[in-house]
Amino acid sequence: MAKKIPSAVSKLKPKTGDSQSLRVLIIEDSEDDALLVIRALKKGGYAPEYERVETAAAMLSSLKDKTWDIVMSDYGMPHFSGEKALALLKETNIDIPLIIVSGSIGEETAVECMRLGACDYFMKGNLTRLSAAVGRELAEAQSRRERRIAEQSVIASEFRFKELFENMSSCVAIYEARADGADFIFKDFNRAAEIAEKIDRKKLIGKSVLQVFPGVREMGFWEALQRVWKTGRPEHYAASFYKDKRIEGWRENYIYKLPTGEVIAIYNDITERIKAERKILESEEKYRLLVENSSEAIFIAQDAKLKFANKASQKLFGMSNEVLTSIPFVELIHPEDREMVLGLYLRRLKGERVPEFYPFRIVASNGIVKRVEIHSTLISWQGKPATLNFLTDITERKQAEEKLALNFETQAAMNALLGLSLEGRTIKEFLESALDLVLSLQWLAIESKGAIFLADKAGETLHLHVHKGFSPELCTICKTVPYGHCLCGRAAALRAVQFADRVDERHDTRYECMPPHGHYCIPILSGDKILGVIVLYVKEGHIRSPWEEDFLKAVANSLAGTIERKQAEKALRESEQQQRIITDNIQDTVWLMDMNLHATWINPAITKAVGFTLDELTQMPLERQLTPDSLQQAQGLILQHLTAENLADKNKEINVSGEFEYYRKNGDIFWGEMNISLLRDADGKPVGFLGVGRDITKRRQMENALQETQKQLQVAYRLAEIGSWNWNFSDKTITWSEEVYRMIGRDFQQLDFHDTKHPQIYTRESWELLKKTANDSLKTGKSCQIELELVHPDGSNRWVNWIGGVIYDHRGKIAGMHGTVQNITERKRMEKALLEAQKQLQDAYRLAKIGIWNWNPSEKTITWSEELYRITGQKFEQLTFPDTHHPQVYTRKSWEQLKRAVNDCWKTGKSIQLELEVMHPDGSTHWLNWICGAIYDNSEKIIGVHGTAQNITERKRAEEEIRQHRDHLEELVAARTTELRKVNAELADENNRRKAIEEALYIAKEQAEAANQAKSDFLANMSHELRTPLNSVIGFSEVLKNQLFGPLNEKQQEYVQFILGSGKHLLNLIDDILDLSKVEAGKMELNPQIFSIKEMLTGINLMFREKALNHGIHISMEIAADVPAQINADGKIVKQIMFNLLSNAVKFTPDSGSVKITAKFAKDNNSVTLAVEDTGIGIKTDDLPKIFLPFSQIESPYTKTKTGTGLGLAVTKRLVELHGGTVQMESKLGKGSKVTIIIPISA
Amino acid sequence: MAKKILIAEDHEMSRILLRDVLQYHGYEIIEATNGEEAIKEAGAHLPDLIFMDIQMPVMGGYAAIKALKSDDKTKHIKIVALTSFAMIGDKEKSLAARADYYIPKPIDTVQLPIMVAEWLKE
Repeated sequence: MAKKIPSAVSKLKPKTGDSQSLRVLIIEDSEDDALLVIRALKKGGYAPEYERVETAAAMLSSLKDKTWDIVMSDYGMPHFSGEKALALLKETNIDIPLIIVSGSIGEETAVECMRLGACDYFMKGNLTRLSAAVGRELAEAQSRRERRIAEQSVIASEFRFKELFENMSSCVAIYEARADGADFIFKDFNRAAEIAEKIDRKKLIGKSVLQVFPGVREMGFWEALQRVWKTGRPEHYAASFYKDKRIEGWRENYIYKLPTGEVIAIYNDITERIKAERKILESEEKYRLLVENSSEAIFIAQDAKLKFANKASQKLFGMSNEVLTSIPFVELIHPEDREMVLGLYLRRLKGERVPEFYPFRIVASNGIVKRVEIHSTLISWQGKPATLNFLTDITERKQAEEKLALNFETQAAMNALLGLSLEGRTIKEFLESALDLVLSLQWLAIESKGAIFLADKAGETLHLHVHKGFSPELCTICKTVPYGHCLCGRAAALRAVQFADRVDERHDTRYECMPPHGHYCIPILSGDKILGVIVLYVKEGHIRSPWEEDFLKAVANSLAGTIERKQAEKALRESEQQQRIITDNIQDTVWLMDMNLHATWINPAITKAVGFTLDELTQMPLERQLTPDSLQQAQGLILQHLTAENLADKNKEINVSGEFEYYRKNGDIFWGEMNISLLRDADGKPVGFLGVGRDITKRRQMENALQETQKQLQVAYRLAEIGSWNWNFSDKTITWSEEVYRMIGRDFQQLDFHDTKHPQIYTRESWELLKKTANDSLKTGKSCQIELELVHPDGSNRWVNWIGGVIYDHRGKIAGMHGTVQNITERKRMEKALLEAQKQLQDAYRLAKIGIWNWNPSEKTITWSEELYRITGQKFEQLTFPDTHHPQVYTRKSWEQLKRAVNDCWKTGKSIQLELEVMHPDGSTHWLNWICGAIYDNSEKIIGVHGTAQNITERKRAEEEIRQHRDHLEELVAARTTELRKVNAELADENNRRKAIEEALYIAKEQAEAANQAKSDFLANMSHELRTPLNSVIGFSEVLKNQLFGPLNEKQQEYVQFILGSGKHLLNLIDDILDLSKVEAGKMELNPQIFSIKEMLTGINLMFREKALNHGIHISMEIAADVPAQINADGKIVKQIMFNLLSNAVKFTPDSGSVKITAKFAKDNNSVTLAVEDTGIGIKTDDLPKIFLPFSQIESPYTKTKTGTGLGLAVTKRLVELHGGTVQMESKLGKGSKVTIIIPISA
Repeated sequence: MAKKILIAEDHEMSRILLRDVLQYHGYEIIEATNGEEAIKEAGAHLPDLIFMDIQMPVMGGYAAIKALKSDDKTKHIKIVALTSFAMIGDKEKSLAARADYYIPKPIDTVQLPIMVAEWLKE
């Protein structure tokens, strides 16, 4: 690289602000020549900045380092030339204009330079045009540069477009119109399109679209292409396209017109998307159908309303979708559950954790309460929180559960009682537990209050034994209860359950602080023997239920057995105890005997027992000590044991014991227990005997007594026919009480449960049941109760109630079972008899061809007896009512009658009899005598409808025949009576004439009444029609009078006053007419109330005070002291009467006159007499009778100045009469009038 | 701002009387000639008070009052039932239809503005 020559570089600063700066590279070997160029440029207005170089290297370097506006080059130089500089500049590809400035240059050289690319050339001697040339060249270079940039950007853009076009994932095709849009040719086609159309673009470009794709016309694309080309408006649409005439897919097309006039189509295959969309739609539809047709009620709740409810919901609530979604959800919930459900709903909306499932009750449209279980989920519905709910109808399940629970509870209670009775407790403990148990059963609706009384032996008094919740006072009052005086006493005396729903007069013993309650008093009976009474407090108003009674009786029965046993046990225990005390106090006798059984030593205690002294005893042979029987027994025992063999065996221990009868010294005999052991010496040789004796007389007596008691107990059991059994696992035997043996009638001893003989006792079914029940009981540990049928060897069968429970040993392991057996053959026999009676009844019905039906509204099912099926000739799998099967059985009319009758009966309980026509499938019709009646439950509530239907077709036919015969008979009779009729005709004529007159009179009366009614109606309506415009007249004149919208002159004011006055008069008139017509039409009704007559009169007086003051009229009031402060009458009517009277009095009394109101009371006929007396104009006596007639204003000198409707008194009279009172008027012309009314005050 | 009162009354003169008197007392008045219109206008203008004639064609006053009182949007609006047949039971019926007040016709042009002012003050 050539170095710059510093000396050759010089710079000139720009001269002035307006000189144009110019960067000039000068290629010149002479600095002077360079300056010459600079000067010329300066002269041309440039402020040049220049560098002079004279070699190619220096030029390149300068071009590279700096930016130049123009290059000036000498033509010939020692090391360089203008031509070379031009070539070099061209090589660098820098667009700078180059001008040749030469000392001398030929024409050809100049041309050559221009050809090589010089812009211009100048002679050094003539540079005057240089600046202008520079300006021109700079401008040209500038425009050249600009064009180049534009060209480059166009190229870049084209490149980018091409790239985009080619690489677009969408298919792109460019079309050009031919024949004014009649055809298009492919201008371009991108790679994506090639792949999609499976065609090489080379085969397309330039070809006609119609030729390549003739099918394009059918696709709508063609028209779109033409439209876009014509209008220039882009289009976007999706279309399906075909292949082999089958739908293959969808494309989404975007078509635009390019500025070039070409049309570009960008399209995408959206088949997958469309398919996906369709799938979503399908699945949505599927879910919608699923939800809509789900058997579960599904709904969405939001803002306390249902926003959506499926068919099942509509069915559940019995409401249409419109109703369901329009009423607040809360109205669907049972009032008692609303708070709970809403609480949970709101908490759920708040996002709190609440149970997902919970039950509550709803009320369906027909008022039926249903139990439902809801499953609620919080969802977002149309952008707001909502709950999605699934409602399941659990009404039936709940009912089943309740029934089950009830059964279970009964069972459990009995089991628990059974369990109690078998534990070793005192009677008191046992009774307390039993009472607790019964009181804890909530379903009995018993308050936790009750007691058990036990009867005394005398059978006259009950003793309070255990109680719960009794106050100390009550305990005192009821400590002993005599039979027959209160409910408990009565239960004991009558041996029957007593019930009262509240404390009532039947209770002799009343206790002040006793809260209201009801009772159950249940006698505890053993056979006919009264053991005690259970008393249970129930809530006041509790309804007696046979079911409860049965259960309580069962409880009492269970208690009875235990009480008896416990009482016996107690007696037993007491006697045992006594015995022990006695025996313990007797000291044992010990004596030693030699091998010959002679006493060698006896302890002193024996003397107490026998009375002999020791010496006497040792001398005494055994014959004198023991009774002969006992001696023989003792000797037998001794001989048996004291054999030579036993004695010889050194290791053999000999021990003999027995109970013997001894003689006392006084000759008495007593029982003694003796135990004799053989004594051996150290070598084992027998040396003598040791005897231990004990007086067991008392014990023997006790034992005998005990046996006696047990016998009695057994008798009790036998009487109650209750036996007991015990199955012991350890010795594998069942032991039965005597009573059981009596029941089974077999002498099975030591029988195992699984012994082959055991099944003989029962019928086959009972044996299977027993096996199963025992097995279950052993598995579950639960007590059980079943009814078994026993096969007695004498050929009779017995039914027993078998109760069993499991016995556990002290380790808690099952050690066996035990229980009771009660003979219930009698009950069973009754049941059977009942069943037979029912069957007989049914047979009777069948023979009488009477069908029976029964409708159960809760299940909507109706059951028919066989006979009904036979009569109707129809057979149904399941009958429901009301439903569609019936119309095919009955004629339409009969079916309607039947439906109405069943509904009436269901609602009112009324029995209804109908004759219904049924259509037999064989084409015949039959007549039924059909009767229905209501079925009631124990609380007298209607729970269903049942009835009978008897085929009376034959009877009907017979009746018809009889009727026909009768008609024939009547014909004969008719012929014979014709004569008679003739005779009677005259009489009849006379009669008819009279009748006609009566009828005419009656009709006239009817017509008159009707006309009066019509008149009243007309007046009532008319007055309303008149009043409406009149109201406007009055209203507008009031507004005018008050000058709301501008002042009136005096005349106008006067006229307006006239209009107003006339209007008001007319209104009063109409009001009176209305009142009158109302009274006459009987439309005004009495509405008695309690009010103060004084207050009413004072009020009316006040209303007229102003007017009276204006006219100087004095109104006085006089109310007799005996007028009641409050009276019972129609205050409104009385007030109106008095208003009318006072109004008239004031109106017709001249100024300064007086009006007097008086009120009196007549006790004898309980009426009030009210009078209004004035000092007015009065009327003539002749006119008095007319005064109460409508529109009867009496002519008088004052008439013209007084205003009135002429109806006031007429209305007053009618009002008084309406109230059952009377009115009368006294008057003297010119003096005054007095109107008196008498009103009965207790209407 | 002036309080708005809707007058629903089919009898033109009665309506004009009521309108003019109330306009005179500075209220802005909207008019309707039957129950249906009354409901529409009430919904559109939410007036402070509605005078509702009971006997009107197309839709009567009881029905209109019931509809207005059961719509959350309009139930706060006080309604005065107007009736021209002051029969026993009309008042109870009007109030049962949840009208707030009841006045029998004819209206008292002097008393009415005082009562209206009282009602609107509450």
